[in-house]
Amino acid sequence: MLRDSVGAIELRDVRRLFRTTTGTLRRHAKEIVALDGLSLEVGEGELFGILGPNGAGKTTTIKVLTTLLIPTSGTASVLGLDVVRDAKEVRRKIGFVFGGERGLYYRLSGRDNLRYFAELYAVPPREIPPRVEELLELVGLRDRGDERVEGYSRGMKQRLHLARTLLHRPRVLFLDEPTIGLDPIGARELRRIVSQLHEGGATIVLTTHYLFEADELCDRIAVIDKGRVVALGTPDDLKANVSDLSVVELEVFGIDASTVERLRALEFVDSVVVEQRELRQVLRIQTRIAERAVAPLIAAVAAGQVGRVAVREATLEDAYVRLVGRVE
Amino acid sequence: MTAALRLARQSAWVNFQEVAVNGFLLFAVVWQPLFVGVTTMYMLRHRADFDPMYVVVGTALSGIWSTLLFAGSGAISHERWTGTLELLAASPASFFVVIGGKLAGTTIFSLGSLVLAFGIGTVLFGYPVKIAEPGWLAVSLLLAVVALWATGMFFAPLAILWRTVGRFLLVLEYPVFALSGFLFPVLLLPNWIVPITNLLPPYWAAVAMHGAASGDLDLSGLLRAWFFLLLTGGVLLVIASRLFVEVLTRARRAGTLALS
Amino acid sequence: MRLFTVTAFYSFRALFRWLSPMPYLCFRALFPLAQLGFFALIGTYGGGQPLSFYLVGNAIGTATLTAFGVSQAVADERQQGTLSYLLAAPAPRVPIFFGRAALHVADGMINMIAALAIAVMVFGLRVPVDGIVGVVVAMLVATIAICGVGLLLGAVAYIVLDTAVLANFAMFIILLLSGANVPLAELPGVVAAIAQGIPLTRSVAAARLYVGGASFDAGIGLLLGDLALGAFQLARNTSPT
Ligand SMILES: Nc1ncnc2c1ncn2[C@@H]1O[C@H](COP(=O)(O)OP(=O)(O)O)[C@@H](O)[C@H]1O
Ligand SMILES: [Mg+2]
Repeated sequence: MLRDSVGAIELRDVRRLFRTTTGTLRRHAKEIVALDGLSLEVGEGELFGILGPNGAGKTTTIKVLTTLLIPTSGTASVLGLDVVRDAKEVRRKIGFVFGGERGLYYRLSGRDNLRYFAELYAVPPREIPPRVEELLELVGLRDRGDERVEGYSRGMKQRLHLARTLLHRPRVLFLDEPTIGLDPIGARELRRIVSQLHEGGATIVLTTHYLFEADELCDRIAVIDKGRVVALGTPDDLKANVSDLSVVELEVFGIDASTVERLRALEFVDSVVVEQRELRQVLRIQTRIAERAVAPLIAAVAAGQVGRVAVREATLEDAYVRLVGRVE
Repeated sequence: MTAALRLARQSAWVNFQEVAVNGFLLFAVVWQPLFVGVTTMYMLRHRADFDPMYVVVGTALSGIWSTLLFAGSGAISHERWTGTLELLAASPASFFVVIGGKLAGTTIFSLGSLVLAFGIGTVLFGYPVKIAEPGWLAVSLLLAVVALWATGMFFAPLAILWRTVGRFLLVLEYPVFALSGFLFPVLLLPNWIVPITNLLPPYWAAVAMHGAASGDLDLSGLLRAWFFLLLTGGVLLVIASRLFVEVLTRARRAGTLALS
Repeated sequence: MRLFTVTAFYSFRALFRWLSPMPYLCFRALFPLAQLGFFALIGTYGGGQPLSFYLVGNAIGTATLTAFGVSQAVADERQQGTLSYLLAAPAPRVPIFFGRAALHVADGMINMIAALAIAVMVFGLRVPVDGIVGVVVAMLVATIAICGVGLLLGAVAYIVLDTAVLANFAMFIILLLSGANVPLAELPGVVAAIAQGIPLTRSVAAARLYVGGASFDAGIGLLLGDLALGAFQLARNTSPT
């Protein structure tokens, strides 16, 4: 089959089921649909974000593309290579980081970890030492390279993971929540490295929980939920989705569920998100009528309960809330 | 080929640093042979033709097998525990080579069992050491390690597929002791089992080791044992390499590589 | 009583989640057969004692496997922090504890019965009808005694070594010194004296008596001895410290 252009990454109607069993004496098999006919295309050199709530299928998507999971049906390819048929070829060309600290040899030093992974990726022996030093430098671990990984902080481990996956100069990178659990400075440092790699021409797929992260880094974003793509576009496209909306933020004290339901039912209200903050809650109400909504909203909440009120323009986060109907 | 050997060597080195201090190895290399050696020394010394070297050799073999079995399942469980199992599976490197290197590395420890076995015979029980053919015994030992390594490689893939199997691989300890004639002739086994033992590399390892230690086998007999050892070991390795591929595919289908 | 059953059920379930059925059954069937066969055939080859000596010794010897289960359970509990939670709970701790222990006693009994069945069917061991009750009681006593050892191991495991390793160590000492394979008279004097402190020695001896056709009374003293040893360990390791 001839195609005019092949994207760096393609997923066509990918379904992935997981079978789990519950119960001891009587075992019930249960099927979980992790990916439900997912289709995506990522261009060469793109920094592509995958957003979605917990359990949406982000990690499963990454694992299919990194050859760790075989799709139940559908096809997926990376650089024109099928991830099932040409798995070995795909593995040579890609790099990946799964968020979190696991996946390193703890009793080995950071440097030795990199050396060993360089062997696994068949980096020519003579190139290994300079490449390892170069990458330790890139991720700022040069001084600590001889310490055992068990003594590393979480951020150091995550940066080491990034170095680990760059050893063989992969053309495509998969980063599954690379900043998860990092402090703000560590996360910013990691994002800086990711942008640097992007500028270097690598194709990058990044999943994240943090909307500002996606907004800041990604060329395009797919929002997925329940194993399907629910929206796709540049951050601006997605924001345009909510350009007709404003957000009224209402600080309230001890609101009950039925009041929230009453607000949701109001004709001019698009969605309501309740955020719990110690003794008070903040209601984020999306509406098409901006300031004009404030008075009726306050009226709808029992008098005397309302604190601070603010009206602002919709952000990417609000676009996300509109798409998946919730926020974590 | 040289690249594979290099990777195997590096894997052995990583494994060495990661699990060398593991209590299991201490158990397999020292404790298990100590128990088997002392017990069987007591049990076999009633024989009229008792030769302490028979127990020493059998004990060493049992120690080597325990070490390989524990090291094989231990190495894979350890990878799963550290989360590197997935990274290995997603790398272009051959799992067979990586695990093969790790297992081969641990055979170094098994030499400890050999020394210990001699210690039991000479120090604990005060028997003189009489090796009929030390040179042939050395060759047989080397080949025996290869044979047991091949057998270990055959079982290791099971630990990749099922997490629980890793912990239960030790079940295979005694069956191999019993089926391989380490400490009693396989002819004592039920008749129908005897031909099966001939298919196992450890059986030929035991034949060669006992034969060289006691001098009961002449060179042609030894050559025959070595030949069958390498043949059965080679067959098992070929099957093992297929199993590794098969098991990884299954794990990717079932989604069992992660710890979860 | 309800608490007892519920606790037993949950630990049973926890046990089985860990052991998916396939490997578990292998373990159950294969391990006794292989260990029993291995030592019985070495014994036959050595010719020091009649075959029944080794068969009975190793069948009772499989009780040592219980030590794994118990010590692992104690260690797992502590690792998951549920033990302190359970003990701090207002529920009476004795039924909770015995709920767990009963499970392992049952587990150990199945092990030994499997081993004995193999001894009878594969190796032609003869157990006189009159001796059956005695042998079963001996097995029960052996398991209880070993449960005590398991508790002790579980308690000290985290200080010394990995639980499973420690249980293996203990299992071998017990197997060697309980007379399962080597008559105590053959051991050096000091070692033989230590062997008297091993909580399996008397159960093995009693079972041999019963298989040899002795009356129930003949072994009762031996069994009471092991029972006392086991009870002592149980009491020591379940009392609050
Ligand atoms: N190995 C597995 N076995 C069973 N279910 C799984 C497995 N991996 C993922 N799942 C399920 O598939 C769904 C998608 O998971 P995942 O891709 O991890 O989501 P995300 O990364 O977006 O949070 C979830 O419901 C999860 O529970
Ligand atoms: Mg995820």
